[in-house]
Amino acid sequence: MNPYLRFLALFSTLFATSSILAQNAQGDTDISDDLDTASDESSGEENGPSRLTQGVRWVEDKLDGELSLDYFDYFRDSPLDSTDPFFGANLTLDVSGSLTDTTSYVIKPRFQVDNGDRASEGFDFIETSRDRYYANFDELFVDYYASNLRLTAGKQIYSWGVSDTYKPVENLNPFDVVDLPTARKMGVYSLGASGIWDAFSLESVLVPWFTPTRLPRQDNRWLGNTQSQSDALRSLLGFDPAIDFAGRELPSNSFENVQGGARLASSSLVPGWDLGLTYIQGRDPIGVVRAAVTAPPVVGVTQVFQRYHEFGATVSTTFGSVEVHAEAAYRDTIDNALDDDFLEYVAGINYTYYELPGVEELRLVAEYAGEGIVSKKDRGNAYVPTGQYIRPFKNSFIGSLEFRFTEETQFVLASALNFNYQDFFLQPKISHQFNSGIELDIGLDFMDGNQNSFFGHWDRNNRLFVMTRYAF
Amino acid sequence: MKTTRHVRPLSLFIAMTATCLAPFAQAQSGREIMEQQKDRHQVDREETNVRMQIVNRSGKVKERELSIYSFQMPDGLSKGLIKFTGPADIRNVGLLTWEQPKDKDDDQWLYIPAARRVKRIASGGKKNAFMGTDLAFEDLRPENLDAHDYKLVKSESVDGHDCHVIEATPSTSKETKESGYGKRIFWVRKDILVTLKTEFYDKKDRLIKVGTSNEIVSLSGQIYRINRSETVTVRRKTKTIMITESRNLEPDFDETYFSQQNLSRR
Repeated sequence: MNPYLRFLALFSTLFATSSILAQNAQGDTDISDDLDTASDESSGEENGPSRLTQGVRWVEDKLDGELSLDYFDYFRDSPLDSTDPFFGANLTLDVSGSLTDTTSYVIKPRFQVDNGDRASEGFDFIETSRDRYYANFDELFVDYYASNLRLTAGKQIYSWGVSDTYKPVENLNPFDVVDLPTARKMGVYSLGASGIWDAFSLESVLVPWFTPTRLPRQDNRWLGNTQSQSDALRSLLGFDPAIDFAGRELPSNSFENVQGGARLASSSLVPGWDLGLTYIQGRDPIGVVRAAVTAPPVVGVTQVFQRYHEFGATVSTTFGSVEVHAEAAYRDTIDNALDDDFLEYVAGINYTYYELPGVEELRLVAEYAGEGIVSKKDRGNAYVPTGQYIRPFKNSFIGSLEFRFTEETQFVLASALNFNYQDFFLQPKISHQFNSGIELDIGLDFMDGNQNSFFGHWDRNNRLFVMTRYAF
Repeated sequence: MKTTRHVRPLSLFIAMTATCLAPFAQAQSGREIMEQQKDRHQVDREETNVRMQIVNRSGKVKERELSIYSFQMPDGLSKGLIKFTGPADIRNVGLLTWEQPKDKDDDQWLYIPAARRVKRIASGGKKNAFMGTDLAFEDLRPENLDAHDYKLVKSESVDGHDCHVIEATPSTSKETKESGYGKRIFWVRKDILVTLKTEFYDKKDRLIKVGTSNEIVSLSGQIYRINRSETVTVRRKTKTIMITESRNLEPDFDETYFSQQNLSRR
């Protein structure tokens, strides 16, 4: 079937589904009242709403959450993955409440299915599977708060960075990059403590169990063009390898593998400035690749998660209408020969312009990201360091232009350009909110560049996307 | 009787003197009235739950639910926290504001739940609409008396209540540049010093919007609050109605509640 006809068919289905849900959504009281009445009358139950309507209303009253439906239509085939188009559905619930006057809880389960077997696992306490789970928790924690002290325990997501796009200091949480443009943070089971004293706040986190970043599997087109990995191994080994993926060496759950971090911040030490210092000791959630020649040219490739110290700093302030921010992180690899020591940094601005004709707001985000190798390690012929394949922004511009035409409709152009290899990512997207609960995003993901560049090796994955979200 | 038929000259003199002197004895400047208003109704801390209705020109209504927290610092400046509790698409969005002295920008941070991110924002856009309402960001801040001149124009009756009519204009170059208003006119009830009506004018002296207070309640003695207010944007024919659902003048929080850490809490 022609991909554009497929898109129209799916779009119509998604829109119709969203509209049915919207009929029961809160917010637009006059339209929803009329539609509810019509629904009641057409169902023959003139004395009350239909069971479906009752069910939807019960969900809206008792539960908060979001249902999202994703459609991705790729412009080119992939030798790795025949799933095209891709359909995915996610249901996330948001349940929170109070246990006592000072203690509350947050429970955010996620349920997901798709036609590409991205989700194929049941449930696991620590998310170590390379597949997504049909059911798991985004977050699940209790929160004790009293005056200037806060204690949390459970599965949590942390945000310490100040930049809008790439955040070098945010390494407490791994990522799900099974679909790169929609990558999201994964929660980690952890203990958190934070306090405020005078001009300072201190937050500390302990992560007892290691969770790796979820990378695409061998049959996922987002594994990318494996040529770059082969080239990296060829330069390491001196011959063309036949790669045999041997698996991952996950750290054992022992005291010596406990990770942690701390952040000292102040918004009043220097009036008008947000300052922060961070420290993390942990294991890289993506790791390095260890290559071992088993029987040439077969090379066994193992993913190893190296330990590191990381020292970071963040700063954010405003000058008139412009917000200015910067952050940097220096990583010192503890496992000496496994990875280089490097410094990553980002600096940027955020500016909103209000007086453009026909547009309520025009928001500009513009950042420069860079990297410097502080100490290059002698790895012999064993390891491929992270910088060759997973640290994308070495000399890069990252930014977005957001045109908000009305409260409901906006157009966003997001981009990333790596100057070293002239590879880039471009995402134009239009978003519209139909009522208080339903939002529709339609856009394109473009990646291009040298085949050995970060974005270039996904150029077969350029696609059209349609994403519908119903928040309740 | 003798006194009714023959008014004593002294009594008459005293009465006439008192009548002449009365305006001078009661005369106050616009600034003084605004200061008295602020002092009278100010509390150390307050929590208010509000339902907001945004009505477009077609009569379509969008509802927002929010909680507003405020805290008065010993130095006279205030801290404020606004958290949206509904509808679903903006639930837990929060805005934290630390008021700064007159010649400095307020510190503001926005919490975006979808990104789990607290972001410092520039307050240069304070003249712009707050979350699609008829209220501007600057309308939600405490009145900055040091950044405005207040002129008592006249007295006038509104809904049967005698009011001071006060004209407020920016008095600093910063406020003149950043505010969306060339002037505002307040109708302040003389008896309880509550603003019943406000007219907002742009820098070309055109009427932009009108705010009215429809339901005023006494909380404790001298302190009053407005339980229902409407702001109508004249040209667009839209309006925003704020309805107070509940209020607590003795909430159990202190200054540390107004932090970025708490902004991102549920």
